[in-house]
Amino acid sequence: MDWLHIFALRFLAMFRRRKLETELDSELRAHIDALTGENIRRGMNEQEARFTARREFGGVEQAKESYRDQRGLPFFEALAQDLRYASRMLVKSPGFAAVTVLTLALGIGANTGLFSLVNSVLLGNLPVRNPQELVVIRYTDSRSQETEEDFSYPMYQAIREKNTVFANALTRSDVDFNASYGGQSERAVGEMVSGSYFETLGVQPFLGRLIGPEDDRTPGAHPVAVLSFGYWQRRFASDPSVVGRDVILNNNPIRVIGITPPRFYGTEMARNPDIRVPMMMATVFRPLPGVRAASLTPAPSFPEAGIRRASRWKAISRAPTKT
Amino acid sequence: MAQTRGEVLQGTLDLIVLKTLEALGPLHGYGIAVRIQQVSADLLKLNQGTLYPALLRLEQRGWISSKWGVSDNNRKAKYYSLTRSGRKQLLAETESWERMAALMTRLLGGAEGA
Repeated sequence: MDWLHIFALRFLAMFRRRKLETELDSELRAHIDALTGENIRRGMNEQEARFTARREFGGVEQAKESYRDQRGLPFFEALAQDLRYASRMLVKSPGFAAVTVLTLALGIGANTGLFSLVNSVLLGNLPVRNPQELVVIRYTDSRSQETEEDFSYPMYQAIREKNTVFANALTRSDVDFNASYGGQSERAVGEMVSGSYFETLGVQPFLGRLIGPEDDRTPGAHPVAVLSFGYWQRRFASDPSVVGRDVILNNNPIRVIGITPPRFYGTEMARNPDIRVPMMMATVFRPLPGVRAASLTPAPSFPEAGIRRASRWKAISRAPTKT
Repeated sequence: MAQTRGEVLQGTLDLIVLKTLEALGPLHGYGIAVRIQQVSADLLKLNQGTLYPALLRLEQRGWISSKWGVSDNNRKAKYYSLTRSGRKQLLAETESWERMAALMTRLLGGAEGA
């Protein structure tokens, strides 16, 4: 506790510097005056007496300097001095200061932005129940030798229903909506999702319910949609009565059945869809090319998954592909 | 003799100051300096200015305390006096110094005897 006490004393001394400095001054001056007086008493003249006194005392400035070092915290005092000096110099040359600040701001901004991206793409997990159990399925086209992530719908169905490896499978596709509100049209980022999408990811609704298998059975017969939390906030001012109402998408009335939770953005990094509709509505909304399948798995060993897939693949890819 | 005036050994200045204050009671910096010169009969070379950082250090440790007062010739002066923990410290330091001195004496005496 001793050093803490001393530290506190020295810390506080930094804020009473003016007073302490005056005291030190008068203490040292008294000392030198006393020495001078003594020398005069011994018979020196005033000038000689003062000179001798100063010699006996040693360097006044050195004494003060080492007294100050003992009194405060030299490290912090030097730091404060440097900061004061730096700010004075910056004020003196504002052009240089502006360029410096701008350079630093851009540098820090760019790095922060890049890190946020790297953090969410490379380091972060999807905001779902068990992100470590999710895999993305790819296959290599035997003719072009290219690795594909896009599947036809029958391929997806085969993976989902006939496989022995994955617990469940989902698929999704990009779509753009033309949403009308009171006669005004605007673009909304959309996504078509399989009925297994939310249950596979383990996402719970924020409000209402989410699209389930029962919403994805008959082509064109499920005019329902869920809104993202952000879109719901932005477009509907978080009005809970939106759930159960219709919105007009591409001239079709579509019933809003629920809102996804705040931090859920889906499986695609940069897209963050506003509105999701069942995959079976692909007959009404033209999805953008490409359907992607991802699966939830109770961790099969991946080489095993690869082999089984390869042996089955030919049969599936020969099956008639109609979407 | 090669050297008649010794530099103040690191650490001994504390002991000297504490002892002086114990012997003479409250004293200002000049008084302490004069006393040290007298007792050491000018054998000790002390830059009197170095006394003040030492006094401050002792005060921070709580071994001495200071108070502004008026000196004999009616001037404002800062008086230093020994505290209770300073007294304890003086005892401890005296003891360790004596042990050290005895050791050195024995060592040097032994060397002479051999």
